Amino acid sequence: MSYFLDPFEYDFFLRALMVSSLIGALAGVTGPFVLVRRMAYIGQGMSQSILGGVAVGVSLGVDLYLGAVISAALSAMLIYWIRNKGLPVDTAIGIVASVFFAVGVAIVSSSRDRRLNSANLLFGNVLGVQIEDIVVVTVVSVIAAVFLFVNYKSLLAATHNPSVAAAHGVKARFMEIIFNALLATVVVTALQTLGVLLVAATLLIPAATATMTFKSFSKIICWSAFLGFSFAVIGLFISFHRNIASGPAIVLVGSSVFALNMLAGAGAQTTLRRGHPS
Amino acid sequence: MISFHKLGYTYGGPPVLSDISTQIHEGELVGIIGPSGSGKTTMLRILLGELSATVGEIRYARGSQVSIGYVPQLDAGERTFPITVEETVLLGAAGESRRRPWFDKSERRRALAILERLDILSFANVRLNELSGGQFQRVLIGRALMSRPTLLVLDEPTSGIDLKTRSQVLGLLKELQNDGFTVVLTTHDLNWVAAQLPRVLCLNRTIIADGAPVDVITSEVVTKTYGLKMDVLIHNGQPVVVDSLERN
Repeated sequence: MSYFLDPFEYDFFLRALMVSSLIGALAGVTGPFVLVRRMAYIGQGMSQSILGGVAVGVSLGVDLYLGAVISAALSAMLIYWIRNKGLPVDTAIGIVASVFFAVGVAIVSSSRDRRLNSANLLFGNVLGVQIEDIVVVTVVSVIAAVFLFVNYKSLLAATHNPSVAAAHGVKARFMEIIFNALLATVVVTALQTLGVLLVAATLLIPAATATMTFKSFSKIICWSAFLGFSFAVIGLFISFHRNIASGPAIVLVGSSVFALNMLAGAGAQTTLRRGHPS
Repeated sequence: MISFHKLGYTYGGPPVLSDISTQIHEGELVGIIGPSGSGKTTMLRILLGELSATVGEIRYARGSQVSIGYVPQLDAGERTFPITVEETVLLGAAGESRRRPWFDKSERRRALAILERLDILSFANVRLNELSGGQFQRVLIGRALMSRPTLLVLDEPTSGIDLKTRSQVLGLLKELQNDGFTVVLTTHDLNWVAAQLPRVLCLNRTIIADGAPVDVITSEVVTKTYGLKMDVLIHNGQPVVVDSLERN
């Protein structure tokens, strides 16, 4: 029992738990849309691009989140611009993300500013969660929850087939823009907990686990949010007791459940085949 | 119901459509035929409101409320989406549904009634990737019906499905026409259209011919539409297009 109670003797743990669980649920509820829109690479690219913005922002004395938001927006515009020049989108993402990431690493490696700790930025540091981080994550979570509550059906229709959705009265283009903005916001707010390298995994692992288990998309969304929340909470306890960074702990918990789920699924299919030789 | 008035469209280069003037009447089943690049899809996209005609316009009959149900070409991306048949059909009502994450009981009842009407009720809780081509096509038609359309627009509904399913889909479209729906579809399948539809519109950037298949599908029209010499035989009173002996 003390395994679960001891961490609460420290104020930072409660703050970390609040932020991580909210981010976990937020990434979980956004993840299935990222998965079916085949945007995994965009999520990864966007999160890597943020490092450059954060590094430039902090070294100029600007707020960390402002630097992250500006770099996310700038990278999205550059990707769009390069793609319109005729290069494939994955090439555009690869180039832009690598350049922004390289700028970030270059500044971090030469800076003596304690806020630019490379391990914290890359893999997350919940020990450094401040009250303002909790406010930012809570506000983003409430906005995302309201948006998804009100627009779930329209967003799902626009994701399934935007042309059909538009013909049937859904503002498909608007849904596309708002969802991309939401994704960028989730990636930015997850920076403190997960670090720039592990955000994409947190978007995808709960969603992929739920997708393999359930047939209905509404169930996938609910379970993905629950799994994202659970992975974050369990990962944070392990991070505390094993003294490892929070981001890797959360991702390793999620990936273990994903692997077990896959093995269980494969086992069930084998049993089914043995029972029905035809 | 709908009139096309000297409609034209260009993507910036030479016109893809020019001088398109025709009418679609309420309760009709019309097939638009033509080769790839003939402007079929552009004409559908203008009808759907995705594109605006660069010349001319579409007019709707006074007092007629035209709402469109759209059935796109079979798409592998849509089929691998993790979603059930019932959820997919319900999405047809997403544009008019109340702003909350779940559908009302009345909407779910209507979706189940549509599934029963299309003979796929037993697949309501099945994922799309577990369906055959014909079952999947019915789901897409069901989603379009869920949007309460007066006009059903189908893009190549017989593309990529087997002969038996093709016949079933056509039978279903005729039933929907009998139920009062206006149906417009595109196809490149000349014989299937010639044999089955009451009216065809031969398109190659402009309208080459428009009318009943037996009047329209002639060697001259088909050759002009497809730019390839083809012969037309009459079998059981219906035209059948075959390779030209002259070409062989």
